[in-house]
Amino acid sequence: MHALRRFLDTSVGRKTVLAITGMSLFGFVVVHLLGNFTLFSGTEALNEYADKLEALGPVLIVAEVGLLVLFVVHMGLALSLNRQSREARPEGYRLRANMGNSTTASRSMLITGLVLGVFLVIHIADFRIKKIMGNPDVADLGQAVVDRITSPIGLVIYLGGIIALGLHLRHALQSAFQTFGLSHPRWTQNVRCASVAIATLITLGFLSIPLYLLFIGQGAAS
Amino acid sequence: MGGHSDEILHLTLNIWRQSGADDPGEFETHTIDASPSMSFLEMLDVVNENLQEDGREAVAFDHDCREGICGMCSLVINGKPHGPESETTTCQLHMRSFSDGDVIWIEPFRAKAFPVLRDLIIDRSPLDRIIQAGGFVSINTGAPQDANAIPIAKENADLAMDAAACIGCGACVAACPNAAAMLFTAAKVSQLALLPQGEPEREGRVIGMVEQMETEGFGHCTNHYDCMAACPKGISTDNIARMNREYLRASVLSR
Repeated sequence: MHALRRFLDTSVGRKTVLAITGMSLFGFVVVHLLGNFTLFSGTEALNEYADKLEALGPVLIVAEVGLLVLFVVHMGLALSLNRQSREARPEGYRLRANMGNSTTASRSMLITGLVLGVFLVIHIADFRIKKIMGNPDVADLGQAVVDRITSPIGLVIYLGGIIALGLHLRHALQSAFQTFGLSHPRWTQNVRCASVAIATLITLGFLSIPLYLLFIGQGAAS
Repeated sequence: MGGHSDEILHLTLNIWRQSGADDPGEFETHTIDASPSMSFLEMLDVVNENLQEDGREAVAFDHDCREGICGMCSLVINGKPHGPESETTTCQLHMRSFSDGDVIWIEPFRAKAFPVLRDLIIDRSPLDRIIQAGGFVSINTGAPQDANAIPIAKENADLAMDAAACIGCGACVAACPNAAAMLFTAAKVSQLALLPQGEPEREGRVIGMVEQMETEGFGHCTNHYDCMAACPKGISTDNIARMNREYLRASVLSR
């Protein structure tokens, strides 16, 4: 326990846990996206998928609590590291040039992370909590999803979440490799390219659902 | 690049003046005619001569070898540590990098761990304390052994030498949006981690140096790599990955 505390007392240790939780959450995002793809087969397919998840019973509860812990640890560590760094330069530069190596994604990790946090609260309150409470609004879950995504406000919230997720992942995936110390001249450049490609694919994957519902499959889906 | 050596650059300088750690400090504007052949520090020398002729206090700035190897010079020039040229210390920066009529902003490296002592001089002793926490090899002194007594792979020798090129100026801290000292510490961990001589104290070294880095109040690494862009010696952020690796390994293995 002492060794773990010592490890977490350093920013290098906390960043390692930040990266582990982040990569785990990335895994969840991929699974969630694959689940969303059931909408391409209609709202019934999504309902069936949701029913199967519900049928897992206690396993689902453990998974959800696990996810909640991952989110809380990830956000808590990110905020604590951010505070450390803000305190590390109490007086900023009057003039600051762009050194050229950082990216919009790398500079906006805190903002995109906070946007994702807000999105998550809305998302869970709107679907998961209502479902658990037995709210008739989400009795037909697939139809509820379609209604949200195709409504103007719902679409804006959804797009905001996706853009934040894409930017966040663009920096996060390759950054995690660096944090774990996984770097080699032979393949680090490939990891960076793959990171951008995967972030783009995930973004396009999430984008494909409203595009499909709005322009192609609205009739089929509803 | 500027023009011919007989050209004169008419420059406006906004120089940070601060009488001590407790003084809030402010910019002071000066004008100067500089030759393109002058180094940046020679240009500041002329500023100081003019100030002293007027009976005013000279601008305090750090410098020593003026050859780009000692790590004493600093300054954030127009928002970049060591100025606009890549892999160039302030002392090796020449006025031909500027144009006639330029306005130049000169600030100290800014970090909580590097308090301003006076004007452009900062206290960089936190970096010394990081070295004291493990950036050395404990050996008995005596007659040197044969140069090839310990075989070292050529690539490792080269990488260790690249890491050892760090002059400890602190530009990485100055450039980092988080005022982190990761590149400095990583270079100093790497130069020994890559060599067999560093092996006996491997775990204690990286843990000691990382913990000292935290104690000194530096920020954390967000992998922007602005440090590498600012480094006058071109130290690679691959060293930061190596230090992370060493630290994780040591955290598991150290007793």
